[in-house]
Amino acid sequence: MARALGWTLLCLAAAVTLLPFVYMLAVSFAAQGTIYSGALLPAPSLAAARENYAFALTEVPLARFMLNGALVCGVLLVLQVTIAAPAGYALAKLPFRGRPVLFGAVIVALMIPMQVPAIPLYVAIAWMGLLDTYTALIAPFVISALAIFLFRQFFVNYPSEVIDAARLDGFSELGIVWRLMVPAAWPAVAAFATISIINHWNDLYWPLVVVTRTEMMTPPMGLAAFRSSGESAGNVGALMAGGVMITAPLVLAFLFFQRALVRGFGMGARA
Amino acid sequence: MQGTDHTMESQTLEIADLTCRFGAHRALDAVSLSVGAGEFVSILGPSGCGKSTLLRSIAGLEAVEGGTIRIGGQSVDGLRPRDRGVAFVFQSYALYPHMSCAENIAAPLRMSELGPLGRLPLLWRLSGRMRRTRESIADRVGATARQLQIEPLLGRRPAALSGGQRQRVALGRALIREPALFLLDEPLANLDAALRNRTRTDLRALQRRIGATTLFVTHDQTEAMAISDRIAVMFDGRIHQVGTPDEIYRDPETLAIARFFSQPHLNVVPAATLRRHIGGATAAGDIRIGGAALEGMAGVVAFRPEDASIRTARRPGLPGLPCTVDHAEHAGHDANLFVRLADGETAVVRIRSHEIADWPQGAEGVLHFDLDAARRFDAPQGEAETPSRAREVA
Amino acid sequence: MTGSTADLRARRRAGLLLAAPAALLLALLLFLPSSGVLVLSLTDYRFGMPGASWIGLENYARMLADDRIRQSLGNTALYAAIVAPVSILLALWLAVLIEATGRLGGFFRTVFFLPVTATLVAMATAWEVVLHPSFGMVNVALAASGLEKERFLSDPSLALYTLAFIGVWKMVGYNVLLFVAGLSTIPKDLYEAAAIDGADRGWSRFAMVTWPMLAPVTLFVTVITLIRTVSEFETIAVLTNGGPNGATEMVLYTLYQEAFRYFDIGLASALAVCFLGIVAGASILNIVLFDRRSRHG
Ligand SMILES: Nc1ncnc2c1ncn2[C@@H]1O[C@H](COP(=O)(O)OP(=O)(O)OP(=O)(O)O)[C@@H](O)[C@H]1O
Ligand SMILES: [Mg+2]
Repeated sequence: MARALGWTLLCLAAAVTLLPFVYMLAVSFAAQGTIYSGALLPAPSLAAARENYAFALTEVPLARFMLNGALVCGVLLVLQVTIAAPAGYALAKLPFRGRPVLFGAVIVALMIPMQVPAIPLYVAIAWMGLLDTYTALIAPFVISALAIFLFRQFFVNYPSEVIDAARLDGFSELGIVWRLMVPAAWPAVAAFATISIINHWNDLYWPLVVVTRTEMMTPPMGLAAFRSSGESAGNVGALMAGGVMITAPLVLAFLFFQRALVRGFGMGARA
Repeated sequence: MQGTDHTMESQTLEIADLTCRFGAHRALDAVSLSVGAGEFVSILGPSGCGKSTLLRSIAGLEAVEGGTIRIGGQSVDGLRPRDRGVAFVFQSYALYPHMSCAENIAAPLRMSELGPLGRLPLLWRLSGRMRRTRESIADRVGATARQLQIEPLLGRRPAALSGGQRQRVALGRALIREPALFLLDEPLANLDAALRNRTRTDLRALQRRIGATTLFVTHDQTEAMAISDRIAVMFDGRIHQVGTPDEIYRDPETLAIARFFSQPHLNVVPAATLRRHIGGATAAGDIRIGGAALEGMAGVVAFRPEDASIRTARRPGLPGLPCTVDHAEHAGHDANLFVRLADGETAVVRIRSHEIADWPQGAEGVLHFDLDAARRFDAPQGEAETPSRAREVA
Repeated sequence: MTGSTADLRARRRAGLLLAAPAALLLALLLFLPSSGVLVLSLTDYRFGMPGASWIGLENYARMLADDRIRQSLGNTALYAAIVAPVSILLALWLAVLIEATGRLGGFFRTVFFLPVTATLVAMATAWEVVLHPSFGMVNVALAASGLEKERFLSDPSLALYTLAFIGVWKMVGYNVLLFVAGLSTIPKDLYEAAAIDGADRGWSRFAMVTWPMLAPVTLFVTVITLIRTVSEFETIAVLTNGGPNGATEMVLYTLYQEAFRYFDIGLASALAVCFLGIVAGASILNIVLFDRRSRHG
């Protein structure tokens, strides 16, 4: 009896969770007319699908949005890791002056939401004439306290004797970071990459602040602009096709790399 | 080079007044030690006495407070670890976990002989010089692996090796640098007993062949005695005695050293107690211990269970202590017989194990010991008044 | 000066060198502008206007007097008061159920985690279509069962609850994941011990073993959920623009509007300071409570 109730609840919750995904996919495959037919799910048609997806890709520069998103996420991730890994190593293994202060700063930084520094950053970026540029989209996030923290936690447990051996073998401190620590810390790298990509691909707030030109928009901002532009009013199918396309990369990646991603979110959550 | 052993120019090592502190704790307290070229010296001492710290200071991995270190007559103060020409084998082996064994062994050469460009993948193919350097490194890795018989393992990661195999890879990584000085920090500690015995023999043979000056850390006195030219005994950050295994075994300078070399048991009896119970003179006259007369002697007298024996009755001319049998511990060929002396203290006597039945609990006897093998020491602080007893040295 | 100390000095210098870029950028991109917000909140600076003057706490007074901002803060509180408990309790229940399903558990975990990776803007648009007043699936179903159709997103009395529903939809999966991770760390022999004591299934087992063991995770999930719910922005910006009639205004959206639509930087900064206070307060509470737990437990 309790078991049956449990199963019912689980299945119901799963159905509600999947509902918008299914509906988005279904509508993106449906012709204009059939959406308003009053059926629960519109009938799919290949011709309509082609039309919807083509509209989203050509009339709306969705491909450009996705390219922007990929560029921003990629460059950000590389810069974040490049800056955070040496700092994480220094915090974990090197006795420099100001180490406790820096670690405290990292902990405090973890608590500051991005919307707080956003106002002065916007003023500064506007003053430098950098609005509507990739620099504006990327620069504020190149430093990630979460990345420093994750790396530091991971490196602390790395055996110090191996680092000593490396020093005897002639590795420089930077060489130790890139040749020993980062390769050994790939679970932390994967965890951080997951969090960083999910956050920055999906972010709407900051692009809304610094971007106005269509060709600089990121996927969520582009989709939001398309939705409110009126063009979509009569074209729900194309809107949903756009939604499918910008959601698909991360969802598919999640299905492929599920284990790493779940562990990554677990690690990030604990931070 | 191929097929032949590495032979290196061995160097002397001189350490003077080396002091190293962790907070208020002195891990090394004015340590001085001289090691001749090609010599194999063991640093022996209980856990926490500063053996690793000494080795790490020599390698330049630990900040020292004072003192000097000379390798081959040259001061290495001010040199970075990589420039001191020393090789270090860590207790945990400290292999790079994500590199194959071949890459582990090659690491020191790659760092010293290839520039940053040469270490990049693919790019090195462009330059003939880099290609030759890489080939030469690969050759030397092969030669080292042959010497240590680990060629079949070269492609594997350290995680896929047994403890003994890891130990040899770590040795290979040290050997390939052809160092002036070998520093080995308990390299055998993680091996099982059988492999340990075999490896220590191999290690000594290898050291003789290549002739490298070697400092070998261990807390196992049998190991130290088996393979060392000389042993330096350390307690609490100080070197207490340096000598050949035989010198230290026969003539330990302090009670602590005597205990360390008489594991698991050493009989320690206050001289006063001995005087009270030991009875008449020897056939030759007065009782003398370690060359000094027992009459008027202060401190304690120590002798090993194997230098003691037990008889059923006192014999004239052979001084002995009356005792009562407590229990016996079987130890294979021999057995340890625990007896209670007249004052209620215990002592241990080595007997043959087939004699256990002759000494049931409560049996009365007389304990004799070889007066020439016994040593007198100053009483350890705080123990002067406590009754003597056989101690277990952990 | 001995060699090893020279090397230690080199190591110190290396540490400073490796940490310097991160420290500098942290100061430049995070701490400097964050303190800048504090300063700006005490001025009447408007973007595009020349100059600014000190006005003390006036922005904070304006903030508290402004009906729109008061409504926004109220909406945020109501939204968090709905989304946080519902998403936490539901996630806890689902996590316990998933743990008990065995092999199918992986499937359900995957399903519930999908909303976390999905782009919220896209999913909000999808929900808008599902809830569309005329042809949306939900209203079709309502009509079919003889009920009135509802304007879920444009009815002032419904809109906030609709957003809260989408919020729960988004948060549950994340919380399920954290709870499942927490559940998997509970040693199996505890359950066996509880079974011997008579708490072998259902509620008694949950109350005796699961809940007490899960308390630290629950604390963490609560704080994270609170922070994320008071930071709601996307669904408002995409679906309602704070409307109808301010019914769905929430603090981040108001902040965004004041700063980047009306360029009232002073007022927006004061709001940002309040927002920081709420979020940092929750984080500090988490640390303090967690610390106390681990010291006494
Ligand atoms: N980094 C450190 N910080 C503080 N104290 C230390 C440090 N390294 C060693 N010590 C202390 O210095 C003393 C000597 O340590 P060391 O590692 O040299 O001992 P050891 O003789 O090698 O012992 P073992 O046989 O257990 O390896 C110990 O009391 C130890 O606690
Ligand atoms: Mg040691």
